[in-house]
This record gives sequence, structure tokens and C-alpha cells, in this order.
Amino acid sequence: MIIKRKTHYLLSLFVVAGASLAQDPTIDRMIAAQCAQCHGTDGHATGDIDSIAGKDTADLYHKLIDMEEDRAEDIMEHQAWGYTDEQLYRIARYYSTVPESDDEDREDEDDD
Amino acid sequence: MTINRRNFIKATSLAAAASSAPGILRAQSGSARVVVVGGGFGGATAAKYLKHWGGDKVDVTLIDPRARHTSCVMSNLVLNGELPLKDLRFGYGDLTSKYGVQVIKDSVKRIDPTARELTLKQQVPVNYDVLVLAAGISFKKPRGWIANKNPHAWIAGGQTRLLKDQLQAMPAGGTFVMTIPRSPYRCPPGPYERACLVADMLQSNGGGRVVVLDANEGIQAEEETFSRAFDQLYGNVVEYSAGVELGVVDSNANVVETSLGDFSGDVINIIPTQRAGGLVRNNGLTDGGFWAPVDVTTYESTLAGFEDIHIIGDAQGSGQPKSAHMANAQAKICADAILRKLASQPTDHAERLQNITTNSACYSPITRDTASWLTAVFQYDMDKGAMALAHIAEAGEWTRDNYSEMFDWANNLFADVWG
Repeated sequence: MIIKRKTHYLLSLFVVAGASLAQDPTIDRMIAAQCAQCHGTDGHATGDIDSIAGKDTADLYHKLIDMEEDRAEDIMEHQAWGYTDEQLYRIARYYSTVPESDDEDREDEDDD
Repeated sequence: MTINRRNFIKATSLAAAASSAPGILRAQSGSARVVVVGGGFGGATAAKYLKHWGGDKVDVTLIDPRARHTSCVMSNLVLNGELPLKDLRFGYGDLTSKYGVQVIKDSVKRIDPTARELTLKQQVPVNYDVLVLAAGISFKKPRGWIANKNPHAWIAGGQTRLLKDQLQAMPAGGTFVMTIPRSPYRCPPGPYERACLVADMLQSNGGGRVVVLDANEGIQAEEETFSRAFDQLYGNVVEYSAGVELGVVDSNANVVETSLGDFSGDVINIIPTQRAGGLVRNNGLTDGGFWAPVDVTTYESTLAGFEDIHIIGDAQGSGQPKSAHMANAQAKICADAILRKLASQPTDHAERLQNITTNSACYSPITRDTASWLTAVFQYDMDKGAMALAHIAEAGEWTRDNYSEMFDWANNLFADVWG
């Protein structure tokens, strides 16, 4: 039986409270750089790992929250588990500011 | 006469002092010089990200005696013939052409932390404002051990090839003996992964023995996965013993003395006790211990007299696992801290401290076409002033999908370091 760890921040909360949420983009960058080992520098991945550069903040954030709250099975779900919700939001916010790869030719297969 | 940038800086430092960050003297007009020693996973990542994030504000020089780094990551697949060693070699060309990192091919002989000067083996001395040491590991050699006869293959390269050649020349039904040192050592799952792959090789050649002599009290990583693999896949091949102290090694006779008795084998793989690389140890940065004490919010040495010297990767002693992925993670925290300090910004404000994270993720081949994985996330604990484990998990099983994902993981990691 898997118990939900905690209530996560709602994205709308971040948006409404945007002014009070810390904004230093270099802190976002520092957290987000920890994704690059697998997802490529600034989110430009090679092979079958998802590129996350240029993704919409809300989409990526919700995806990460879903992973964190899922019955953790795969490696990425377990990674998401280790971060706070605010950190996941800041990661998503950072990658939304990075231009998508020029050679982005793969279809986005998620968002069901 | 050596060109001594430090003298120039000293001459101008009075004028610049008012605007300089504490501890860092630099010319007001010029960019600060950061020197990174070691072009492995930690050092190359630090050099790259300092330039990627710092641009013209920082002048980055990478020093390494070799033109290319040979990756330990994936190197167990060289042993079973699944990968050529040449595919694991990475040069520094992209660091220069894409990011503007200057590369000096030489060895550092000595660090003068007062003059902030590095003596090189062949070329003129190099001065630094900030120094990053990514010196990796060195070995505490067991008595009698000859590495050219009983390879460690724990620093990839010629040693990897030697062990591969020895394994291929092993007689049918032969015995492979491996000794595992006390933790911490580089790549916690690595020895068990290697035991699995050698067992796989022997089993498909009609059998043999893989004798694993572990100085630790048990399997140090992916315990569920490796216990099951030893039992279910390799029950007739792997003989695992924990708590075994290594004594004298007779490399000429291929015999190891241990607390469990003497073991002889056709191939003996000694993975010795490890400590920080010689450059870190010989310059006083381990304070007589095995690893360098650092502040994990900056990776700067915590020892007096070594201001602006940072140690990342396997050589530092913060208690995080010694892995390539983790060295890369630490390099980014270190680069971030150095750039803030050079810009006279704090590195210890709450917003930054509560967002210092590192992680390690890796795949372990269990057979020639399946793999497991291991992942861990660390968060900075402000009360303890240390990195604390936030979450850890292992696959617990081995699949073909994981084997395929392992190549994507490795290729992205390699690209984030040297690409």
C-alpha cells in the first residue's frame, strides 16, 4: 500500500503567489542542472531520453508531480520523489526558458 | 622568468580590493582565472559549466596529463567484449571549441596555496584565483601486490584491457577471484556488477568459479538486485563472502591471503582500498585522512590555509557516493558557488542552501543483455551542514529495457561532461 507523501503545491498557488515565490533564476538553474546528467545539458537529450528544453512550465511541473505521487516504479519516478514540490516547480520554470533543440524531430509522446 | 599573473594581481589589488569578494583577489578589469585540475567526470563538468554559466566573466583552464579521459562508467562491458575501450575515451576538444575552456596537457606537481601557484611537470607555473581539484582516487596497495599481474581495472584504461585479456585467456572451468575494499570506494555497485558479468561469461563457457571476497559486512549497493542475481542467475558460479580482510597478495603465484584463508585463482582482480588522488593527499588537503573535508555548499576545502581551493568528485569526503554521476552533480554546485563568489554574491543565503541538491543515477549490467538501476537524491540539511539522503531506490530486477536505457543514460552523461 502506497501512501501519498504529502499535499503538493497547486500550480495556481504558485501563479497567484508568484510575487512571494523566490524568483532568482540562477537558483532555478542550479537545481535544474541536476537533471542534465540524463536529460542533457540544458535539457537537450540524445537517444530515447526525453528532451525537456523549452517545455511549458505547467505541463512539465504537473508531469513531475504525477511521477512523484505515482506508485514509484521507474527510475524517474524515484528521482522526482527526492525533490520538494517547489524544487520541481523551479526545475520546470527553468526548462521553459531554454530554447527547444533545433533538431527536435521526435514527437512528444506524453500528455495523455 | 615565469609569467606570474599573481604579481600583476597583487599590484592592482589595492585598487580592486573594495569590490572584490572576500578571499578572492583579482584585477578589476580582467576576468578571474579558475584552474581545474583533472579532466574526468567532475573536473570536465566544472570547467564546462563555469564557462557555460560564467561566460567572459571567468577564464577557465583545465589541466590534465592525458589528452583524453577513459571512462570507468560502462567499462565492465569492455571486460565481456560488449564495448571496445576506444568508445569510452573522451577528449577535451568540445570544451574548448564550444565553451572556451583552455586546456593544458601536463601534470601538476605541487600546489602553493599562498602564492596561488601550481608547479607543472613540464611547462611554466600556472597561477589561479580559484582552484578546483578533481583528482579522483589513489590506491593503498596491499603488501606484495603487483598491479600488472593482478589488475585493479578500477581506473579505466590499460588496466581494463589487461583484465579483459586475462579473462579471455582463462582456461575453461577456471577461477576468478575478486577482492572488494572497505567503503567508501569508487562506484559502490561496480564490484558486484563486475562479478555478475564475469559469472555470465564463465557460465556461457561451461562454468567456473567467481570468488568474491568483500571486506564489508555485506553488499554495498543494490543489495536486493545483486543478492538475487548471485542466487538465481549465478548460484553455481558465484561464491560471495562478506567481512573478509585482505592480507598479503602473492602476485607471482596468484594467491591472496585473507582472514578466511588463502585463495588462488587463474585471474585475480584486486580492487584495493582507496583514498583521495595523490595531488589532493600530498598537498595536505586530506589533513592526514583518506579524503578531503569540504563545505558541501561550495566544495571549498574546510581546512585553514586552503582558501579558494575546491575539491569535487571521488577525492572529497562528504559521504555522498563516489560515482561519476555524483561528481558531475557536485561540479555544478561548485561552479555555481564559484561564480557567485566571483560576482561578490553570497553562497550561504537560505534560498540557495535549501535548494542544494545532488543526485546519482546509474544502470548496472547484470548479464550481457539485461541491467538494473540505482538512484539516490541528496538534499542539503541546514541543521547538520551536510548532504542528507532524501530518497534512494533500486530496480530490484534486471531487464532488457534497462540494458537499452543504460546506453542512453551513459551517452547523455558523457555529453553533459565533455560534449
